[in-house]
Amino acid sequence: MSDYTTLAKRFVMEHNQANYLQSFDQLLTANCVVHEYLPGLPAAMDRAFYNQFIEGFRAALPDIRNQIEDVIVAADRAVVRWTGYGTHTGADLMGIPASGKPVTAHGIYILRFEGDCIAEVWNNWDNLNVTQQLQGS
Amino acid sequence: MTQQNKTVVRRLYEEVFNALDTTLLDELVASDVIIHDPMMGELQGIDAFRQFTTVFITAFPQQHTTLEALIAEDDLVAVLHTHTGTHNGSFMGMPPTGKPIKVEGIEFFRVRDGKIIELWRHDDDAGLMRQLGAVPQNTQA
Repeated sequence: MSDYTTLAKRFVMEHNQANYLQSFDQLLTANCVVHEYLPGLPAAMDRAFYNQFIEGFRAALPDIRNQIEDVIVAADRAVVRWTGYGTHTGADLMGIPASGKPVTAHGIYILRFEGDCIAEVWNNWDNLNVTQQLQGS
Repeated sequence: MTQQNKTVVRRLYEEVFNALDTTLLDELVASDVIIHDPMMGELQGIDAFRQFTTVFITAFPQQHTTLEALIAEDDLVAVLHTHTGTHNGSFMGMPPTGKPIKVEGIEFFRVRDGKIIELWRHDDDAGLMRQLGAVPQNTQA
């Protein structure tokens, strides 16, 4: 079996890299679907939608960086508990204009593998906290 | 061990949160448990865990949590789940609205000697607050 721990860690950390799209091509199946929990998003994003979604975060938080806290692997699933950091100096994010404030997010990914690639992603993070940090409330 | 740990976590959802048997908390949760909650911050100890439980079962007394996946390795368990319920009690200072809610989440547990010693709660809190009418509807990703 492939080393799902390494692949899962790579997926989470590649979000911070300029060439993340090439990495996603290697790590995700063509039909991979992603479930994120934010208003205005479809229940499942396809690859193209997800790329756009990540680009939105990278444009808003140019210094965005993830840190891995814990990893679980069992059968075809991997779970990654993560912390993310960024400073809102770029584009609007979730309808909120840049404030220059640092934000911290805490979240958990579940990844389902098909062979050596990720076929389905669930990511739940503290969206209310992050919204409040972005708003400065 | 992973099977036993999954059972402990499953019982927390099914027997405590779904069936409202809070007497089981001493059996399922360690006295020095730590809770990481996005709304309530970091809480410590079984009494804090009891209060944490009370917050949710008071606000959503007939809630049902459906467990879609339990994933475990070593001392860790992750749970993909959906809560459905009705806002029939006070929640975070908000009086009951009677509104139905459906909230998805992924939670993460550390288990030691058959008891939960650490919990990271992660639900779609923004979605919950939107369903309760507590935040504007027009915030787009």
